[in-house]
Amino acid sequence: MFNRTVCLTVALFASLPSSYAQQPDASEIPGYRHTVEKSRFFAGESVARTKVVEENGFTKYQGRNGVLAIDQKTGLALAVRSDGADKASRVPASAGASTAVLDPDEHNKRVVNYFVRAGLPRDQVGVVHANTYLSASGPTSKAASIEPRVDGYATIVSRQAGGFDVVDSVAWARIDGKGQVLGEWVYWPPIPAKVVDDARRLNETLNGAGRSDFLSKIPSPQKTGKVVIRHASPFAGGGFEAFASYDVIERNERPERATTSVYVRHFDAEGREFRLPHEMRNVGADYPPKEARPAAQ
Amino acid sequence: MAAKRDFKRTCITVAFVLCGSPVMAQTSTDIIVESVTDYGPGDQLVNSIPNGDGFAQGMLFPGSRFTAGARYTNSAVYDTDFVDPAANSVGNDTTYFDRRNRAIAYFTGHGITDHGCSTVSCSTSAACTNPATAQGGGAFRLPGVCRFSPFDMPRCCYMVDRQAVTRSPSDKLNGLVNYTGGPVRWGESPQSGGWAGAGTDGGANLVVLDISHGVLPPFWAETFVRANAGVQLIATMMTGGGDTSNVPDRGSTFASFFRANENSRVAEAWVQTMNSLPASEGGSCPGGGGGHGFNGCGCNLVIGMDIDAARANASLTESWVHLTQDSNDALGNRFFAARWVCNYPIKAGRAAWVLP
Repeated sequence: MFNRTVCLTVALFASLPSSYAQQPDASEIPGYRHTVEKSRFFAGESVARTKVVEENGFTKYQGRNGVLAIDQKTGLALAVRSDGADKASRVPASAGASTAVLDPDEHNKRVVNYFVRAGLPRDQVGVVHANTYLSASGPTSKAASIEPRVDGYATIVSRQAGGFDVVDSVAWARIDGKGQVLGEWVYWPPIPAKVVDDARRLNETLNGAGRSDFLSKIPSPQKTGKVVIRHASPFAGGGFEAFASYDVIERNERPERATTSVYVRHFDAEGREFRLPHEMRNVGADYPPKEARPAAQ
Repeated sequence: MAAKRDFKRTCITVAFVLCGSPVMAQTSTDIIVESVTDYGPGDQLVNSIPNGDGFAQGMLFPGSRFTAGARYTNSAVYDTDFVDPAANSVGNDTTYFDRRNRAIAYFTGHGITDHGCSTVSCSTSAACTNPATAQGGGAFRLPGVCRFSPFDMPRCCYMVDRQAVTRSPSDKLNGLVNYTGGPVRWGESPQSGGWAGAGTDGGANLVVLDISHGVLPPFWAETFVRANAGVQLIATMMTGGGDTSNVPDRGSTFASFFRANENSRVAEAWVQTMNSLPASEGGSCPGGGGGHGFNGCGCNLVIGMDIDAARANASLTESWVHLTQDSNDALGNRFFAARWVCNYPIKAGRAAWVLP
């Protein structure tokens, strides 16, 4: 009986659409999965006519002008135009782009509405801002005096859960003046509720009597940081993992070498440093073998 | 005279194309990734190797059109790997970074902080004529510009060489790869021709410099014009107040655009990589934005150069498929086209970094 129940449960989950992660579950903060039906990348085109192929780890919906690729394992969805051209064709770089450029604030408003209407939980929308697309061209001899042109914007939607930044979740879209989506990216996985609780406890420690003790444990000269939720990137490999973290920006200057290193360090509730799964990537030995040379005299 | 030479070169190129020369049909598919995490005690870029390996993993898989060329890390990355032997006899880029059949050559590690800026405030670039007032390291020279950023009030800044940094006992140039005024020539090939004076023994079609301060505004062309000896595209980071953050996923994110759609534009993939990196990792940019692989304000920038404006512009349209085709190698560097995405809003019609 038990085995049968387990089998039925597994079968049920297997038969659910990929967006099952949106369903409320007390043990997790729901995620959002972008789908071909929700995307406006193929606006004006019949979704039923897109060609569907499995390729390079993605389910790809191939339309007239581009591809919506969805990684069924991680939920990452990205839409990319198929507008590459050979140099010999001498297609201008601006070909296909709309001449109308939305104001960045208006762009932000439209993109947030687009994602929220598609199903991205409004209460998880954190900071929203616009990135700017620019270009310049001309004779190299006059390059410094050529004024760059603003070509448009992408709106970036950051995520919050329980009042904490979910740093590694990203949704962005770029739309033209007609509302056509020119490109988009959504990675918004469900987060275990326990991780939000961990973040809350860590935050309480930092706002309470335990602050000095916690900060003294951190093996970094830089103590100023922020409690956030971190999780595996879509390219981490392995299973999904999420963490509450006290993130600190480490910045070291080496004036004698004219270098500065900047990276983010992560600390758990005990002040122990840890690394995210994608920060531990290492494919192994160098190749092909390189002959070491004697040191310079 | 130069125009006459260009015309002759173009005619030869057209003739080769029409004749279906096997030289023009050449494709390059190898990828080399050189990553430096270890710069010595107290100077670790902990995410360089994960970043470089992420790019290689994302590009190299069964059925990929790209092939594994080389992977070197830490002290196995020599400054001479990037240097052309025709420009400096210690150089060995023909074996490593710029070897024939390289489609993509990716370096992740340190850049340098030399900025060429003075404390002389300004309201027009016409006032910036005295490079001797610049501070910090480097050899400052004209042109000068009145540069500002969300962090900085307008002040006179001058051209200064950009460099990548290695750390190996085998370095022969003090671990500095000067790709602005130094002995660097990338991409010279039988298809590009030897117009850069470095022979035709190179091969890189796309060079990625995943480093701090890869280029500073508005010197996008001045910085790379000498290094461009036939390379189709150069991708890097431009800071506008702030610094590049050493992140583990810039390479893998860039590669994901290829895996999603090999008919998409390489240039667009690089600039949109910025959008796709976490927005709230790294310091903010005043006025909104920041993060995305930067601590402060910055941009992902890609530049192509060629013999005429149409070819330079068209370099930004090349797909991943076209990138492998050496017929797209640059035939000159008289024209440029650059595209970039910045991690903060800049309103159309307003000066972005420089007061005219």
